[in-house]
Amino acid sequence: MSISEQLPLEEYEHGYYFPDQSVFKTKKGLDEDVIRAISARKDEPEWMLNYRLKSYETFLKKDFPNWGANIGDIDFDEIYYYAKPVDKQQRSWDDVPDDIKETFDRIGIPEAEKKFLAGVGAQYDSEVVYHSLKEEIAKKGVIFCDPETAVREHPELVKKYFGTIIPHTDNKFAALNSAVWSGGSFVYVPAGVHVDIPLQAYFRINSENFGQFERTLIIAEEGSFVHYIEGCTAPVYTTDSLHSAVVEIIAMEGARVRYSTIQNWSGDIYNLVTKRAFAYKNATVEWVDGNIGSKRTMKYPSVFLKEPGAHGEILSIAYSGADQEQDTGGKVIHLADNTSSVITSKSISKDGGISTYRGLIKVADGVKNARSKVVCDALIIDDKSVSNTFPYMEVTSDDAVLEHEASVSKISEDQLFYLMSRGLDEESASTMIVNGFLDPLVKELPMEYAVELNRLIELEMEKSVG
Amino acid sequence: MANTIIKQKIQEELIVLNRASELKFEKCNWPIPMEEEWRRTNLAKYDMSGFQIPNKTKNESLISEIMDKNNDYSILINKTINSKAVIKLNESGAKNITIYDPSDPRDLNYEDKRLVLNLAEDAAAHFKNKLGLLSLSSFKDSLFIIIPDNLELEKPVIVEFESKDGRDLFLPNLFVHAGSNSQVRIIQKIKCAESSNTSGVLNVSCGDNSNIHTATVSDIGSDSLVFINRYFYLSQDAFLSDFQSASGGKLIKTRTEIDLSGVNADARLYGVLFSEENTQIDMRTVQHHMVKDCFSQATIKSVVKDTGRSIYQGLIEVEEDASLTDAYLTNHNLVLNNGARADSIPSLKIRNNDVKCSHGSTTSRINEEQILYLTSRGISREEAGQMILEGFLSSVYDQLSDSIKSYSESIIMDKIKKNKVNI
Repeated sequence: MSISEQLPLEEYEHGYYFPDQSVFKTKKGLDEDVIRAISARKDEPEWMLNYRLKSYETFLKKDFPNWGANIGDIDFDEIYYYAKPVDKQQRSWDDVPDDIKETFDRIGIPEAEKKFLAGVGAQYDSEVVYHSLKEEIAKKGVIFCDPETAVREHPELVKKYFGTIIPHTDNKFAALNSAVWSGGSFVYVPAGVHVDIPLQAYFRINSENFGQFERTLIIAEEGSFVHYIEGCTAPVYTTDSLHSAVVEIIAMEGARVRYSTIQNWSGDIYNLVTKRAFAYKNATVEWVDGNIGSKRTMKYPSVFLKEPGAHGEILSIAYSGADQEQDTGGKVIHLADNTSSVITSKSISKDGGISTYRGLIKVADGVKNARSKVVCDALIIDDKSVSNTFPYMEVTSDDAVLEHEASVSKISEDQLFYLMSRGLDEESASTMIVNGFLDPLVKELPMEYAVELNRLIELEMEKSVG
Repeated sequence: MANTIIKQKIQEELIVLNRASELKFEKCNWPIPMEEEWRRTNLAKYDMSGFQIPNKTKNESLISEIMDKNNDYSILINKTINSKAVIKLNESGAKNITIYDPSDPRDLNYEDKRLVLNLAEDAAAHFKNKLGLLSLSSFKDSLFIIIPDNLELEKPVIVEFESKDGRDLFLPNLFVHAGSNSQVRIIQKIKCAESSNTSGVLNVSCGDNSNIHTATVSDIGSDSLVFINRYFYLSQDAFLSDFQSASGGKLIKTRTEIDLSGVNADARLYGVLFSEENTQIDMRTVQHHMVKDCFSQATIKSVVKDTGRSIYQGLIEVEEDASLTDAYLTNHNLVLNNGARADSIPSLKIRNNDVKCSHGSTTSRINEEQILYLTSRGISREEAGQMILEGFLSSVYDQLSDSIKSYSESIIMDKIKKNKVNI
């Protein structure tokens, strides 16, 4: 029996949903009126409305990318761009409406907050319904709120950084996000402050035919440290929903920012996200990017190493099952001397899924002592699945060292034999090999996420016949 | 291969194919950077006005002198632009080879006619972009070589294509059919004068259990624009070792595709790129595994200096049926100074899980430790640099068969020796 027959896909455990009880929802489709309505609902200042309208114009002008996953079947007129689930954001779980609370209870957010997290944001459709930050961290001057609150309360910071890392002209989906963004996170860490335990945001799509466009901006001042985690799920519908986020990170001199994502969208979500970070002198930015769910994902977290000594690291895990396409990877642009980067990608294709690594390493003209290493490993579980690797390397400097290696394989019979001859059944042996394959990345995740990811992989492998 | 019924004379059949390509050429647009393969070579930046359907000039009977003094060949063919081929045989077995020069038409036996036409039609099926169509719109500078089954040649077949000056469009096309169990080495040398517009094709069909070594080496004058489309078809148990080197000119863009379509076929691709001054060299290779049990390997090395730029795009593509594929791709680039640029894009597209595929790529400057090692032994820094460059490239040349190595090595090595390496 082939391995694929032994490893059927699990049921998507976050597939439940509650009736759509939004207090306000824009009409289907997108035009200027919808954008004005969103902006008016949020009571935004004029400059933000103008930015949205300008972005909408860009969105109309920009073409779809002519590469990557097939996303031509997205019908922009069939999507709801804004749905407000509650009137007011809450700071206590008790005040969150029951159905929303139950959703997040099932996902396990309040429990996690108690145990592991310094702050939590929970977004339901378009709006952040719950936000909290531990008091001692707030006292140090750390800001962790939704971007709407930031626009109201910290306009100087927002104006200074918003849209500077990813301008609305960057690509079609960044333009769309800039036009209709709603919710997300705003994080500001003052100079020298170390936020030792992670901040977390949780994104949940509940409505059908819905587009979630959260916007995240993280500013880490000189010498600070922050670890931000996001998780995502959605119910299973028969029609497609769209998730198109923009995440901007600024790591000032000596700062370190780590951004971890475990994306576990349901199989009808288009996940088209633009993520980019600027790292200044001696700063470090790390993206840990796990993509397990969604119908099609196109996501390439990137780091611009702007000043000497900056370091970028991207760890990417992709799992594609039936009808899924994960087009993921990473980009690092070396713009200054003595900069270094590492990209590690591990992908698994199963049941006809397509995993693609797409990445770029660029070393600008005259940059001294740039170093980069890219390693891509792919595992194809059955003979229906596909694995692609498209790394791009562009070097214009005589003092750069770039290395790239990639390999594609299946679960090796030798390894299976080794384990089974020691008394493991084939299922446990396969699970162990897959977990071993992902191990170097899983180690980089915070404990509870590592456990979650291991559990997800075990679920995928669970129903195997030994 | 198409099983065509041929009624007309071969030259008439080929003219039909020329006209078809010409019509398609007129309708076709130049490749644009929106196409992935052309993203880094924007034709809008180059003067493409010389790339038009050539006038139907009478072939000149002027025969250029053959420069080759040594007899290290089995057949030497000189094909100068707009002229008939000059052929010299130097090995008895070579007489069994059919050489067909469309600018010097003659009647062929039915079998050769069929093979010549198949080669031309195969090329038309593969080279569909505007430059490929242009190459096939006229066979004025083309040559067909039919190697019969079981023929083994000791010495190589050398085909020298030469453009006298940059006035006319140069279309050096070489079509080779290698029969079952044949063993040959074929060198295509493309010699372009200054400011030549060149669009050439190499189409090689390797029969069952054949053992074929090919090389395309070019000697290109400054300011030339050169496009070369290369296609190899490998049948069962065929072995191919292919080498190409590129340097000089303003732009050289080559595309090499290998279809491994017979079980147990084995293909090895080697390439050397040397880009200096304002040269842009854009090389694409495709290792296309269509059936099971095939092996392929590509090794490409590039050196860039001054404002030179090299682009290497490599792809290993494994089809669903191609289990037990064993495929490798390595690309090493040396960037000698700031401002020179090397792009490396090694890609994989894998649709079967029972495969061994991997690629590796490195880009760096000359290793300072190696320089220290040599300079501490009394060698000057400049000489040390040259020695390291030679060593870097000779690891590719060492993989080639002796005759191909001796023929092609000097072309780039001489350039490197002439150049000062400031490191």
